[in-house]
Amino acid sequence: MIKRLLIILTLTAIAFGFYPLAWGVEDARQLSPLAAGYVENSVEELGTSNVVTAIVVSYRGLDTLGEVTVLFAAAAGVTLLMTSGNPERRKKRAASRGKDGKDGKDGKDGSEGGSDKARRQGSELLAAGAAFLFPIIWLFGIYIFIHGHLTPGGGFQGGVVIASAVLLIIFADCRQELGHTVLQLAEALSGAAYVGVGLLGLWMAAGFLDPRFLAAGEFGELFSAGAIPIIYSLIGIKVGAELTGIVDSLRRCS
Amino acid sequence: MVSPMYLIAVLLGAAFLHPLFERAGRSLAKSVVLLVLVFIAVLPVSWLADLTWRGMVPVVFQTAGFQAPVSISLRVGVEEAVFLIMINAAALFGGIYLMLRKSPKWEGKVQVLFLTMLLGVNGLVLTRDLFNMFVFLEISSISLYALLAFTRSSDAYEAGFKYMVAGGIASALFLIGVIYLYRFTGTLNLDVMIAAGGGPGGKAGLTALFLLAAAVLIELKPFPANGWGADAYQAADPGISAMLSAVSATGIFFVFYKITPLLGAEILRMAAISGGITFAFSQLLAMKQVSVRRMLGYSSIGQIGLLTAVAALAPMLTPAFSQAAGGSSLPGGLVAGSGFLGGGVFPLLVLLAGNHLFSKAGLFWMSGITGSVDTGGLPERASLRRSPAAAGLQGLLTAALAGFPPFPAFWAKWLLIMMLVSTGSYFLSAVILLGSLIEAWYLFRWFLNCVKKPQDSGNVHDEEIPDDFAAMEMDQEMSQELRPDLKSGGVPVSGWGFITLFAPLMHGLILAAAGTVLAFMFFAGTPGFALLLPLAALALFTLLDSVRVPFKLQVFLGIAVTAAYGLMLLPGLVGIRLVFGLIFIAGSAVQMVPLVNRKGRHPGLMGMLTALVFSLGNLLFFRTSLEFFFSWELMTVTSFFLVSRGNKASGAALRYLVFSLGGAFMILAGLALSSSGMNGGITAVLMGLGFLVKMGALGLHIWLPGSYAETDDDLSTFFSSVLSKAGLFMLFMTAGLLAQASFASVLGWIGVLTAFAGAFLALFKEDIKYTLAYSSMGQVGYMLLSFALMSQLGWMNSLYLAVTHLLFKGMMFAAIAGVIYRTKTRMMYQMGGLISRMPISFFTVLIGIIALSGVPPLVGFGAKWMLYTALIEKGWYLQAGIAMFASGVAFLYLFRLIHVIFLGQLKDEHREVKEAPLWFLVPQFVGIIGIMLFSMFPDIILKPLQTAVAPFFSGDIFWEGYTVISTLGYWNGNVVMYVTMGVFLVPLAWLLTVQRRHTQKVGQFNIVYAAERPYRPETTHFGYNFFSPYRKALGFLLQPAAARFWYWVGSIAEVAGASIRKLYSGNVQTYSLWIVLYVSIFLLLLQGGV
Amino acid sequence: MMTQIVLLIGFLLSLTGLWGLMTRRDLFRMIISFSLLDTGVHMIMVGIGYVKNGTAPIFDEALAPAGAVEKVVDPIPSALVLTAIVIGLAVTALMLSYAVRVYTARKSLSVEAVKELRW
Repeated sequence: MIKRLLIILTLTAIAFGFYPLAWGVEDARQLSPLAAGYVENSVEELGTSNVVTAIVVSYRGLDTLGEVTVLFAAAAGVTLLMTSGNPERRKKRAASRGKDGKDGKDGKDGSEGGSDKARRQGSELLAAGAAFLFPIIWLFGIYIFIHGHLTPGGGFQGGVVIASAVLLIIFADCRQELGHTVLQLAEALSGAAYVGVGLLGLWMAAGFLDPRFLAAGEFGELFSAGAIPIIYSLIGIKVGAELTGIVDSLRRCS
Repeated sequence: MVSPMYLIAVLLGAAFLHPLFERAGRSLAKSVVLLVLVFIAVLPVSWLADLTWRGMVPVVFQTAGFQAPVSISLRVGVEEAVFLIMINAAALFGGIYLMLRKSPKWEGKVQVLFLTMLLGVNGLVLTRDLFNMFVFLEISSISLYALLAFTRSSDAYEAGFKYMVAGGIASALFLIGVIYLYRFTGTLNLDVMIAAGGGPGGKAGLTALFLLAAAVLIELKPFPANGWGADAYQAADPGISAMLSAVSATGIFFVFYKITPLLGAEILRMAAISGGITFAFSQLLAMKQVSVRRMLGYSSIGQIGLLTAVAALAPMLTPAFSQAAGGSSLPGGLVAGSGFLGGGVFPLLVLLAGNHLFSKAGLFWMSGITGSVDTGGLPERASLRRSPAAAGLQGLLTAALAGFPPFPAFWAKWLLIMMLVSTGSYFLSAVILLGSLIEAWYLFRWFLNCVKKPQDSGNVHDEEIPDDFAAMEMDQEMSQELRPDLKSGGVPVSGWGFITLFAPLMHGLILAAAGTVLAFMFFAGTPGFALLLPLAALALFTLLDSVRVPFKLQVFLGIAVTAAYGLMLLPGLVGIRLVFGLIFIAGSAVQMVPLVNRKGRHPGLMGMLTALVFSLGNLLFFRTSLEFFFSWELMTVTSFFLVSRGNKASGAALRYLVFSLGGAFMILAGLALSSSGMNGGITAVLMGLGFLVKMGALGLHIWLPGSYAETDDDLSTFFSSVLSKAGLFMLFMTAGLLAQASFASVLGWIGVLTAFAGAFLALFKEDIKYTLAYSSMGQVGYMLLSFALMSQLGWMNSLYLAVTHLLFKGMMFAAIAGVIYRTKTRMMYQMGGLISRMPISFFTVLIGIIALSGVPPLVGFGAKWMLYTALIEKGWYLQAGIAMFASGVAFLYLFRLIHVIFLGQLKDEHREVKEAPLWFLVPQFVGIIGIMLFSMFPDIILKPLQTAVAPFFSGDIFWEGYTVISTLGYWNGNVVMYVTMGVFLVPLAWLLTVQRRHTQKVGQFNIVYAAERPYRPETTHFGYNFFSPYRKALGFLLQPAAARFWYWVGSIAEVAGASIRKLYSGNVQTYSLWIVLYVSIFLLLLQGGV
Repeated sequence: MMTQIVLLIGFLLSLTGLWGLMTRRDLFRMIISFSLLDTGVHMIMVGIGYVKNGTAPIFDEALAPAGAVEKVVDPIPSALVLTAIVIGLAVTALMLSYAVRVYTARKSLSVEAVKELRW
């Protein structure tokens, strides 16, 4: 009880401390000079319609590269955590878990143990719908990331949409095998290509991750804004592959 | 300059493509990772080369082809280069360490995460954009979260979850802070913000800044919001813990350093307070730990806290530095040192951070290699002692972390305390010194537990009377069962080759090299760099050990280099320094001789011993206080390692270390106070206490008996006859400070009471080495008393005692070492009648006890004569009375010594013992000759001593031939000798001839003679509890009051540690509460304008 | 006014998240609380970027590049929040994996199951 009281007191104290931040800031009347600079110059400098994309991919491209890395590290971490290191031990553990699984307590973690009390398979409706929707969702995802410089959205959003299609498939059939080689290749190559594009910027344009080593093209067209659509496409592929990997690692079919 | 973008590109490229490499072949993937690690370690070195030798200015690299603040920029300056060199070097060796391990496996995802973690930390150091900092922080944190799972233990999962919760809260605060800073300043770029005059003002601005700072501070694990950090250190694989401590924590600390110009005085003050508290409390917490890695983790947390405090105090300390660089009254070495790397607080931070990074990572790896899980030590099959290389390495890393010379932390400690004291931060200085003392305590306790021998219980501070055999066996079983830790953990020694130890070895070499370079920098201008000779000797003998040069050869070499050292340096000395020079150098050279008798290999022994002798020698010609302190600490650490070699010495060695270091810290504080212009009382007290600790004065003596006695028998003599005089020498050197009447009389009282206590305690010891140890303590008490007289006769007597004590105590220790060597026991009651088997040793001891006890005709008589004369001249009658009484007591234990060992009946098991080996006899002959010479012709020694003290006192005594005349009488050594010999020889002849037929042989176990109930058969011997009547009468004086006092001091620290531990309930929600509480308290204080 | 409302909601959400983090006993609920905290912070970021009567900074038929400075909200916080969201997602995914692992190791999802390491 004392602890509860202490928590309340602490939260009150920190709320009190936050108060000047929460209430002391009025609506801004105008952009900060830096933001105004982005809005004014991005079209001319980079040829993107979406100023946020210009910032995300180019001006603050290092953040985005880092962001991709964060996701990459998290995916690696999830894989590391969810798969046991030693395949033999894994088999042994799976076998023992199959036995334990009978009492129903441990079903949650028995990916390989073929228990009788299997979770209900996705309904036929879901399976058929997923098969039908899958290519459409993918198409939509791809559309989102290749148009990232023109419309709202971009590589991350597109990637998430793509991964959600895979999630849908897994809902329909938990044991659906994914093409691990393809996933791995897509993830590795798109990432390396991103870094490569960054280096091209360093060698052929003004700096690391400078997308202007390709011509800016005509404003508002799909193939414009230098390398930004390429970068966003690579990000889209990478994010899609990574999130798919996370979903894959986290699934527990019983 | 090579663009840092390549660093990012290479790390990321390798990480992204890693799965493909791994498909092509595991070894290919490993090689690629290794190459990348080498690349990122070398790149910053090239930057530093550009920035220093090629004279480039720091470069800000832009990204995306736009200038900051429009884009994100990375800065490469000296600061970034230096920190990245350190971080990436540790990462390289960390990678190699993990690669060489068999389990858990260094596999695909782990390598990937290792690379991304490094990317994050490198980015953190380089970036100048606040939000980008957040991104890199998250990269490194997420990689580390995941790496925690490396060991796949349930503890690791638990620690990982807690770590993530704490990190998540910190991230949220960071984001809120950053976004508001953007709102208030219109930029995210650090340089722009700093150029605009630091952070935004106003309550909201201050709050935003604080949230940013608080997030970074939480990542640095401040007390009490750091339980999750300790958990992570404990549960992770040692290789990962090392990276957590060395790479991640150092990188995040650099972020804090980077944002300090933004923070403003109020926030910095809070950070400094938080850092100081963290340092102090972490040390208390570490002390109580059972898990090695948790202990090391708390130590890391504390060190990072210290770094934080120093970085936060930079605005305050910088003026002090520039003043020092400008050449004020501060010692010369300081001026030379503070100029390096551009001055300011930064070099200090580099020293502290680098020292911690390399030594801590090395220790984490050592714990992994040796399998040391438990601070209680290792099982016998895995004991570090079996691998001298591993033991030496762990000793080196521990000494580095504890801040012994020549390692970087030593210089940092010196600079820091000097600076803090000169700016009046006495409290913080005291906290830092106390914390460092505690840290040294628990680190060395772990070290000793790892190297101690199986028969060593770890808490031997006083003699142990052996039980009979049955009891012994049961005892051992008992202790085995009571110490389950001895069974847990531990990797059998077999595979600890060069390869296994590679990573920590590299760190050890880096630390040693850095320390040596620093010594050159600080002592620039010292002729011949003689101060570094101890290190050179240590390196030389380590080399000889590694190529397996036979030990006997090493001893001869050691004697030779000591002699060469003496011949080179002694002629340059005069007066008191020359007297002590002879004691330190010539005395040591002679006493090295018995070591020749040793068999087998003794790695490290001669190295430490010569280093000890050289650092003692270097004390003689110090000119600046830094030179003195360097040699003093070097002497402490080398002698500690010598003590720790003893069979049961671990407990004694630990006491020795803690007391010596405590004394050294008092001296350091005294030096700092006096160099900051503060004179008089407090300085004198601090420094005097420091020296008295080394001398083993009463109350500060409890380390002394154990370390003198438990050291190997042939090494004890160094401690007693040579080392104990280092403190006396320094008293002479600082006499000006101590000369005030009140101090002198206090010193006098301490001296006389030490003399009495030493003699009295020696009286009741069964263990011959303890008898001699306490006897040494008493003798040093006389020296102190004579010194305190502050008169010509007093000082002469003090020096005279120092020289003669070297002779007779040295030869007695040598003789006793020979006896122990032959009889295999240290208990006097287990000996007896050895006069017939070891006549030379008997003769040595006879001469020794006559000389020591102060009866005519030998040197001791002269000493007593001078002492009483001087005491009476001074009017110290009471002290004279006690000194006289103490002499009587001394006579009793000396009588027992010779009687029980050499007279009486020979024991059955000693029928066949031979005289001690020749090598033991050499120092005995030297001693006997010296004593005879000085006894017959006192003027040989007294006249030079008179000259030595002439610059200080003159005029009270005169010479007439061999006769020395004082105001109260005269002493003619010749006449005394002849008279006494006559008085002695006539009755002896009568005894041997006329009285011989009246003697009655007494049975060996004739208990009537002892008048004691025989409750333990093996002690039913007249020599056991020899002076039981005195014990019954005066035993109350034996109450170990001093020991109890120090035990109480130790208990306070332990209790404090134990009660603080309660904060760490293990519940992640409580930890979250501490974090939020930490933030809210400081936030409200800040807003309240404190 | 708009900014203040969003900020207030953001801070309330964050505090709710903190509250949940400190009081919910179930690890998954703690993770949900953590997501709440994160979302609150993201709202704060978005709120900071609001400019009175501004629209999204994307040029199309309705918004010509010329003179757009007067009409759009600040694009920088939008860009930052995008990054922050992805990072939050990554952390949440990893936390969930840890929770799963704790469950398999200790057979419990209670916070009481994760206090083996202490002192």
